[in-house]
Amino acid sequence: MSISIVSKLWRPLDADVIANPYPFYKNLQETNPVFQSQTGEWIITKYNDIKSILGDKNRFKAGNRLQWMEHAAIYAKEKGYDYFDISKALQSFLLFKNPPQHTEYRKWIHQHWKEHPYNEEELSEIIHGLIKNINPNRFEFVSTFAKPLTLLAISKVLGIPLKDSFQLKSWSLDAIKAMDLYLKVSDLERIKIATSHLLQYFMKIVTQPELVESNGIIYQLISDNSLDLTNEQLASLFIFLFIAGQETSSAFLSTMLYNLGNDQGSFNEITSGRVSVKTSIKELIRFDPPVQLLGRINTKTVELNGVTIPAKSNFTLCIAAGNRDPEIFENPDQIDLKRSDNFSLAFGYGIHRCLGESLALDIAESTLNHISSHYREIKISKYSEVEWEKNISIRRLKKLEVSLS
Amino acid sequence: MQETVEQIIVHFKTIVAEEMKGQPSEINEDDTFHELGLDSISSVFLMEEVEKEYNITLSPLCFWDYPTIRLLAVYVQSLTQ
Repeated sequence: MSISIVSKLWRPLDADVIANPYPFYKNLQETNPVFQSQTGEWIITKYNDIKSILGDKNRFKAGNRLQWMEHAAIYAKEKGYDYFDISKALQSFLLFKNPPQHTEYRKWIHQHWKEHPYNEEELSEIIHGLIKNINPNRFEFVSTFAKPLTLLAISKVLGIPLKDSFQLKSWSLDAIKAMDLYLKVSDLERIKIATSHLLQYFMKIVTQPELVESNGIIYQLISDNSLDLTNEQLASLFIFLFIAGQETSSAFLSTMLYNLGNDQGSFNEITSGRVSVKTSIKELIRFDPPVQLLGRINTKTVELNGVTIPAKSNFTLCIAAGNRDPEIFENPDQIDLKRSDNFSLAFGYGIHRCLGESLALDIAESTLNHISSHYREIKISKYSEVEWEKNISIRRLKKLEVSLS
Repeated sequence: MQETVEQIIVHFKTIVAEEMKGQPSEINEDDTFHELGLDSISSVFLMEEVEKEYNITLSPLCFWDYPTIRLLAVYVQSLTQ
């Protein structure tokens, strides 16, 4: 193999892609829907290909990132770095688990998750509390609303006391970087510090469950440790529940507002009651989902779209590209709040479908209910730049100055 | 002092040879990093070395976007100018 000119089809870190990845996905989807990138991994952008891979638990395994972290820690040890806390903290993340263990974990967590449905009144109380302190004429939505709301909601469900959750917040922000594509040593350093702190906190909780609320899921899972998980495995699971739900939900709230701010016509449809908030959210999350990329490894040689791919290859599934596939969605680049048969891949598909889907939807629904019943216009400030986190694995805004009127 | 592309190539060969536990003379600057045996983990740490050495910031993809020692050397040289 000799490469003289590198194809620049796969350039997920470029500034224009970070700001708007959709033209980049479209280009891949139209020219190379099954594409081997310069890094060697396979990039998949068609809806049906992604869906068939996510649904094929026998030939495609989850967990590439955890494996990578484990190998990286062993490799880095020789160079004098200590990254073992990262893989310890990630070991029970459901999205990296495969059957049969995945099935057991999921069943057990689901039982407790079901018993603790979120109280919508409490949610709307939190929203009112946050809005009260905001000047709607101009405010920064991400830090004053999206993040605190999801932090408070997740903490409530898990039973983490407020004083603790505010401390855990910044570690959560750094720990979620573990999901990003392509890390540098400086990223690993930050992830390590964050995961070490989170591990320390949740290990303490596992041995002293009286420190969390007894009606929260964490307390329940510790009391009913029917899978006989070790303290470390439990702590890792709690880290997962804490950060996964929070970062993705708050990411979606911000992009939802951003997209409605850029499409006043759609917002009018909601405020006038021509379309329900529930259906609108389904479309907004198809249009711009927070989780944009998912990884898989194949256990056997597979053929996709006429391309033969050897076993043990890494796959990057572009969920967000599939959600814009014109073979599945008519006018995919348009927000069409009345869209029917809207089976997007935003929450995944198959056995790994998002566990927190209903909570995430409740949070988004309460937020949009509030905004659409109190305001008629969303304006994105022209005086300050919209800032995105520099990674599209979880597409998330850093800053969004808006005014509501 | 500014290094020329040829000097950077020599330097990179040393770094890669050390990584692969071989001799710099065995390394061909026109082979891809994949062919030389680098992977997604070792490249992260070699990049750190290159960044520190030349006091530059590189994209995590640069080993694959400039996939040979020669191409990367040309790129790094352009950043140090």
